[in-house]
Amino acid sequence: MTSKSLFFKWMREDIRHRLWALALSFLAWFFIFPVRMALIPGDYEDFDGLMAKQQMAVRAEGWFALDNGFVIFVMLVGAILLGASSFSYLHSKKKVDFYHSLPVRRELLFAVNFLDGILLLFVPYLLCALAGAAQAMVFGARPAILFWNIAQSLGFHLVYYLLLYATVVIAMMMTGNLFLGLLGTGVFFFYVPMAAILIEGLFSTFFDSYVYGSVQTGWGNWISPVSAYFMSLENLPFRNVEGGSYPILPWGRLWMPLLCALLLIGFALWLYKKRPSEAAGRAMAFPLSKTPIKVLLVLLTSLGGCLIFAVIRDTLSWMLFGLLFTAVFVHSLIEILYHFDFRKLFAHLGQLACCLLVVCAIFFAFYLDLFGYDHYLPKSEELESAAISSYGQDSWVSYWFFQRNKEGELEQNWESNVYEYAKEHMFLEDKETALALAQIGVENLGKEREEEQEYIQVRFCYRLKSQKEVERQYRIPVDDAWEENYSKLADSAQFKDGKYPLLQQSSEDIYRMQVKFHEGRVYGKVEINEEDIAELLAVYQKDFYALTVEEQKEEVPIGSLSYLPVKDLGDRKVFEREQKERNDDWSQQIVEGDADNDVIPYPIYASFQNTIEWLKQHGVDESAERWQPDICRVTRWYDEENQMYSEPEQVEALYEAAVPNEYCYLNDWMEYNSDWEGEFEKQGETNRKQTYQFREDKLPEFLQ
Amino acid sequence: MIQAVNVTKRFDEIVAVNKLSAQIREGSVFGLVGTNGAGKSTFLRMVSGILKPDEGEILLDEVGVFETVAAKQKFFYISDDAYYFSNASVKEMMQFYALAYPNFQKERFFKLLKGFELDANRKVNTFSKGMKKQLSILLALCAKTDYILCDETFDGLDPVMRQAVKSLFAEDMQERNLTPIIASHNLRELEDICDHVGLLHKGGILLSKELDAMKLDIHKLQCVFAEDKGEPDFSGFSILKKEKRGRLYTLTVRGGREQVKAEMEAQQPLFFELLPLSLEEIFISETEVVGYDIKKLIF
Repeated sequence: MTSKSLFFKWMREDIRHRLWALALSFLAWFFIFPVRMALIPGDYEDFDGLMAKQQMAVRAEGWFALDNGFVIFVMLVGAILLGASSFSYLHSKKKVDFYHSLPVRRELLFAVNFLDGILLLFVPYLLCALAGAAQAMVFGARPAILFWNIAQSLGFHLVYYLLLYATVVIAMMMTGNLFLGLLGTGVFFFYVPMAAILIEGLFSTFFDSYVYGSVQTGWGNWISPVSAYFMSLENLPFRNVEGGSYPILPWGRLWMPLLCALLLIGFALWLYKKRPSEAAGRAMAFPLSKTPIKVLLVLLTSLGGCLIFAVIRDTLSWMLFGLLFTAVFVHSLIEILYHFDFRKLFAHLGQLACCLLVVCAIFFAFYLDLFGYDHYLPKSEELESAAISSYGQDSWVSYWFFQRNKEGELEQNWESNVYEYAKEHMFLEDKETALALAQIGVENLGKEREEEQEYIQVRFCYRLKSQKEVERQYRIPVDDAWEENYSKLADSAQFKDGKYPLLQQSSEDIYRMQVKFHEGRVYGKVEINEEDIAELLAVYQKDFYALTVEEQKEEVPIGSLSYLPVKDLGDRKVFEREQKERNDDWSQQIVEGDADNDVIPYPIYASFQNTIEWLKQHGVDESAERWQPDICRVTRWYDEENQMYSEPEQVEALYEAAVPNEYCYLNDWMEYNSDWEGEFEKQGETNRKQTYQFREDKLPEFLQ
Repeated sequence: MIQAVNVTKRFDEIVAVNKLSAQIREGSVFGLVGTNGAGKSTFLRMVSGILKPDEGEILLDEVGVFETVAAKQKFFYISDDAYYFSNASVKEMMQFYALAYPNFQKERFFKLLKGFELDANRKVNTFSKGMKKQLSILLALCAKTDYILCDETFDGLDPVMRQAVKSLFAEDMQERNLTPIIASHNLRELEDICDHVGLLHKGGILLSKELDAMKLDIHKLQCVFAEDKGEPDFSGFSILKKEKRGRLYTLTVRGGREQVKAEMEAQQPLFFELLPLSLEEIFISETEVVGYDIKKLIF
């Protein structure tokens, strides 16, 4: 018999003895594909028309795309089940004697078992996916898209399955019983991501200036096959087709995981050849691996225990208790597992002592900041540029935008925020002022909060000439020094580029723009024509660049310019048609302009002369009308005391100090009275009601 | 020929086999005897290629056995607790073995099954322990390998089956030069089948000899002398053991039969008789000489 025919015959025999796995696999895929396809038409029973049919087809097509969560789940579970079952015979002395006494090379045994573990999952997957695709074509799914999605999914999931599966096999090889093999699988899957979380935890617990996510532990997630699998699904490009969009697999992204999978498979084979047959039934197959694995686990868990007690009781004694107790406990537990003997819990005390020393050293390095993390400040000559950001200032700025998901529905993307946006777009050249501001923060580290003192949390990103980026954040007291330095930076174009997305916005990605003015000028919003958006945007940007902090301390916005950003908008007409054809209220609101909450407002100040002039030229004259109320009702919020004023001088004084609520928050520099708010009326007009705040600097005496 | 050259095998701190050297010639039945923990199973597992020696090597016709398919095709290993696929029938197990051993004799197997009254379609996990052992032996015989390694295989068989199996072994030995290697802690079991016996103790071989040669060279002599003879002179004998009960002397002596007879006749006893020794008695005698209390070693 040739080795090739022997190989296939062995495979057949192995599959015969694992029919349970084949049955489970078919069951899972049957429900995921054919049954799911059969359910889809029922979701659209109450709808008819071309749109419903198209949506049904799009939904079916999307089900076969590579980001199907059910498929991912089955891959994960399948890798564990099949990895364990393929090589669990190594954990039984009887079975090892049986297989290894046969005149068959270990390489053949390995290849047969390994390959079968792939076929048992993927053959049913492919068959059921094709069956489901056939059903989907019956109700209009497009064959080209269906098969493209299936091909992509197959390639993608196969590569990551190999990665997961090979890892499980290695865990089985390195251990001598199934329980420890599964524990080992857990360690391989999650150790590095947990270590990454632990490092984040240590930094954020012990360093006040730490910026969450700034320690580069993201690479650790790529070392775990599970997290690599999930992360590879992030940031996938999408392909837009009529009615929907589907993730595209950049095939180039698969080379690295495939290479890693092949390396792991090679390693697993090497382990198998080296694995002593007498390891069956032992805890660990390779005695040399016991100590390193134990030490790594003790380090991770003891530092984790320290952090848990840091949360419960933020004191040195409790943190040390958490650290040392967990180290001893985990060390003892592992010794018990290694020997299957409870009496061995205090074995290898020398190793335990070394572990305790190491974890204490790490703990105190963080606790005492022995490496000077918190007080780090780069020298000016080392700095290429900087970025600063804070939610505490100009908190009205929004960073979201709309984009279409793969079903073609609009959804808001909240990925960016003030910090990420500044990091990406702000390149401050005034390094001295930025460092002076940071110095204030460093000096304030560790100090108690003072009563009556306001603070602001500011994040700094230092871009060094060595190409390194360093982030820190500080709690800075809001005082003259803060204002002086921050104002200087805030007036610069580089600062504004990194703070206000509208200044970087392309008019092609703006679906709608509208302006509104302070009641008393032109009331109500005015839609800007599509062909004018680009021009108005340019004019507004020019005015905004010229705005200074000093002006914002003196002025309040007289109106707002709002816009609706849609990423990859494309042709507006096509977009409108698609949204109108959707059977949901929200899409209608977006198109018809009723969704006030779904636009981003920016302030218009009286100093924005270019903008105001342009609007005037296009029929929007804010000065054309001045509304004069004759009644003012004020309310004090904490005791609901209210008063009514109708004397013209008083109403005038109050109106002069009043700012509509919707504009108050567009200016953080202005100080508003925190006690009173008001409503103005004109006799005979009941439909103009708006709530106002009062400027502190203009608050009439009779209200103070 | 199988050669074990200074083979050592350790399991953590335990030395299961310690610098063991042995030769097993083809065409004879080799018996490996020793107490529990002597190293018999470990040795057999090394010979069959399951375990790799920590030191030394095991050669088959000058070629190392471990991970050598050509060498392993000449062995069939019967474990003391054999594994069968769960829910597999006898026929399915046969088909599996036929894959591994290309010369497997399927017809003979079915014929032997009938002779042993084992149902080919019955699930192996419904068999008794003895029936499983019978099945192992039949599979081994029909695999048509040069060597069969039996690890306490006979212990689970009833006397009738034991005889039947011995006959089959003898038949195959004659037809195709089969070499069974049988490990057991039961000397009586090995006595009537083995040609060569090795005694294992604490991982080493204490004694390894041809059974016939052992029996030719050692005898039990019972003799009685006249009352007035006084103490007889046994200096001409190579005595391994001497017992006296009243006037009856029982000697275990080394030497050729005729030589011992002549020497005894020269002493003019009233009565003497040369008696056959059992394997157990031979071992006891041989090993007491080297200082081991064999009664503590085997039973």
